[in-house]
Amino acid sequence: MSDWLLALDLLEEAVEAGLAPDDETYARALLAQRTPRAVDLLKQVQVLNPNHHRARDMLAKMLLALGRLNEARVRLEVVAEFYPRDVNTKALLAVVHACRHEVAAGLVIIDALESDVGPE
Amino acid sequence: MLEFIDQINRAGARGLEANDATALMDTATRLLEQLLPLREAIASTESDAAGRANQFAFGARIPPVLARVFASVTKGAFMLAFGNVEAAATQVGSAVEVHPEGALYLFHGMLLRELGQLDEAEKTLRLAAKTPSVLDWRRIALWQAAHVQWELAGMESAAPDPVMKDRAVQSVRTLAALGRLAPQMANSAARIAIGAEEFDLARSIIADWQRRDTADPRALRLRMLVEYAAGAYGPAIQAADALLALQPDDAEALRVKKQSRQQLRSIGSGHGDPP
Repeated sequence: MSDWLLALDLLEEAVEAGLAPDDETYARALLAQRTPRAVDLLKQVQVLNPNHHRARDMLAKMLLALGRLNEARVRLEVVAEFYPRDVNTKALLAVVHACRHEVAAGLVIIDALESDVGPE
Repeated sequence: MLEFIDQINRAGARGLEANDATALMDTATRLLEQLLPLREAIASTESDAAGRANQFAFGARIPPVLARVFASVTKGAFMLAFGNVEAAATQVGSAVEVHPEGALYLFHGMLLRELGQLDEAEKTLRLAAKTPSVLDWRRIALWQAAHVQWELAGMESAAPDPVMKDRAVQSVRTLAALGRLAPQMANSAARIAIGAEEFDLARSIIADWQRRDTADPRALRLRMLVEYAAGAYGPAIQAADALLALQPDDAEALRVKKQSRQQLRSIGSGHGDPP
């Protein structure tokens, strides 16, 4: 069994074993069969625990992948406020800008990242 | 990579390669190829940043459901590369079922069109035109939808479908409102509008095109055809003359000019025919 499938099995086991409501909802989002369902569940996590960083991060990725660029940008900007050294969030924010025809804004973010963590 | 995304968006906005499912799938594959190294690059920083827990786990935390979508699209691209359109359509169809995103609907619709499944293609392309997308390809989706709807309308057949005709016109109208259409796109959109006798719609598309390129013979030809079809024989002759100045032996321009003159003479003598 691949690590990937094993991880999904373990997630299911964790849900069955019982988790805190926010983590259970997050786990169910990871197990969702469709992305809109995952988005709904991740939004529920935010209601249950507004500080659930992984859920917020995953939600932004999902929204980006669904082309809901404005929503993704707003969420990523909030994450970037809370976690100013989060490279992942900044990189995704740059991608969102590029998708919105705002390449210059995206490059500003990447340049700032490079000065923070160094070039690739 | 940001420039690459922008290039793809712009290519899509211009409608380049838009009538070719293989080219679009190739573009999607190239986009994925660009995204994956980014994922790896960011994930690789994880080990260098032990003190920053949870900050660099893009690679490790890609949503499982999206990983399945990527896998299906990649398989679809391979199938298409080997010429198996049906298998590609199945893969992309299963991806879009899981992940309703505009560009995926567009790929799926184009593949269904290529398979001749026009009813399904039409439904899918309508979804493509109204579903949000990572890529700014709404113009292509509308353009493709208009083509399939026009084909299904069967205006040359014994029993044209008025619902499909209206849908085609609506798609063209929405497309025209977005403006800045690529010549290839403007050309066929205007032809649909002329065929549907929506002359002002056709005129607005041609005018937008001519504002950006005054000398494109394709735009001049359409100007000539729409004016002739609308019964505006004077402007039709004017456009024919402009076209003939560029292409003196153009048979269509010569014919339209001749017929327009005849019509004007008939109108002058009180025996004009409707166009």
